[in-house]
Amino acid sequence: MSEDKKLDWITPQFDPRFPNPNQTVHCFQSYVDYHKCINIKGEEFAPCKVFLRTFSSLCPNAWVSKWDEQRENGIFAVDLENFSAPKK
Amino acid sequence: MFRSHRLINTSIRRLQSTNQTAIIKQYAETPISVGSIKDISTRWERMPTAEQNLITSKLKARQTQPWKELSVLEQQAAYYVSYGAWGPRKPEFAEGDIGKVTLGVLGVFGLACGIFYTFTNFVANPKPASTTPEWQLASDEYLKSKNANPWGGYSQLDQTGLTK
Amino acid sequence: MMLYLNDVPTPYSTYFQDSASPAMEGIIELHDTIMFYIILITTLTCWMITVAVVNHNEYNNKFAMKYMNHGMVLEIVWTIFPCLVLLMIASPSFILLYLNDEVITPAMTVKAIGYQWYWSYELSDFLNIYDGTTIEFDSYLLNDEMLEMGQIRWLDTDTWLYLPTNTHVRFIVTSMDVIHDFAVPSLGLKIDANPGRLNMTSTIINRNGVFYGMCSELCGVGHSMMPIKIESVDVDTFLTNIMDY
Repeated sequence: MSEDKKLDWITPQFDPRFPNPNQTVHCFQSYVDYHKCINIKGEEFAPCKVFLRTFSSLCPNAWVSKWDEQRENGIFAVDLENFSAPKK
Repeated sequence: MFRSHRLINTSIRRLQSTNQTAIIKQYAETPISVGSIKDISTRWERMPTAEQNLITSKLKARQTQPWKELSVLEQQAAYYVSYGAWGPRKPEFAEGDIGKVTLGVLGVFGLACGIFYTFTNFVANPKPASTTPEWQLASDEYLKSKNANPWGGYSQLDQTGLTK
Repeated sequence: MMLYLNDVPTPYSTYFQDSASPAMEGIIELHDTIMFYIILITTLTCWMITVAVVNHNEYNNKFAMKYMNHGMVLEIVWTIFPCLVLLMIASPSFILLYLNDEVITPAMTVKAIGYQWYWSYELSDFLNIYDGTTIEFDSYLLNDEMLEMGQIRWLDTDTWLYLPTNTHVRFIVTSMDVIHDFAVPSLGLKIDANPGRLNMTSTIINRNGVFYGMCSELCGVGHSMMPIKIESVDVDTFLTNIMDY
């Protein structure tokens, strides 16, 4: 293993919301959560990275680029800007 | 032969013309003559239709009596006429046809083998290069280098397996 | 008797390929357990049929159960016995099923995506997509012209998946067109790749080697030409390879 590079290797762990072999919603929910998160807190906010890593690991790249495109065109299925954040 | 025909014809005519119930009663009570129904299974198919009809109607009448009053010969004849191996119940192949059937099956099997051999050897594409021994040796070398089949033996060629 | 244990398919092999993961060992164990009952029952029924044919036929009928209408004990026995056999088959089967079902602590995730007619693999655990540095590659069959001496025809691919041994690897399997099926017999993997759905399964490869699999759901004319090739290496070697990628 080369010394100069370091791998930051994390894979999403078991999530009790998605215990089944079907992980489709796990992927999609993480994508939605990530974009809601950075819309509120900004891209530099570290906890948002959890969602980023989860959907990067789970979603096929083709899906992600398709959704990105939809977001740019404003036709993404979920409203990522105007939503009510959970109250305390 | 001619005479018996006439006799049978007469009796049938009598059966048709005279009082039928009386005749049926007469048939029912008189046992059928041994000569006319002995070895019926060997003679039945060569009998003229009129005689067959006569025996049938006699047997039918006899069977209105209690079964135990019929002689064994009559019982056998009744069974043969109803369920014996004649007419539509005659088997397609007799016991002597075993040789013919065997020959036919073998013939068709041989033909199929011939067609298969012809197609695989003359019509189909030649075997791919990967089936040659040199190729498979090379495959084995590669798989061996990758530690394939650690328990079962890696070889495609050495079909005894288990040797390493 | 030709009985080969292989993790590559060989001509005329009749049993499982050598197992390389706990799941496959469980499957082989289950197969052998159930085979015991199958052989037992087959022998019993064949014996009963033979006895019936030999002892009770047109020429030889020693006795007829003319007046036997009920056999309470007999009927109870032949109802309960199959139930017990089914229970004994079902319990190990369910244990294995639920052991293989859940993926609790994976160490890495591989996305296997089926296309007509090739597989595409993505490894995105360590980097993120927005850096543009995810590992993504297509794995095509080597056709007869491209095949070099010694390569295995219709199983070898131009690029293949490297995985570390003794690591819990999660597979996310999906498809981009029709239904495919991601199957590697010696790893005990077989899971459908459905378009629009992410199926999850996992394996722990417990030795170094190469493992071959094929698409196992009829997906079109190229169904036979989209093999899966996985090579397992030590974790260190794997990480070095990833670094150099």
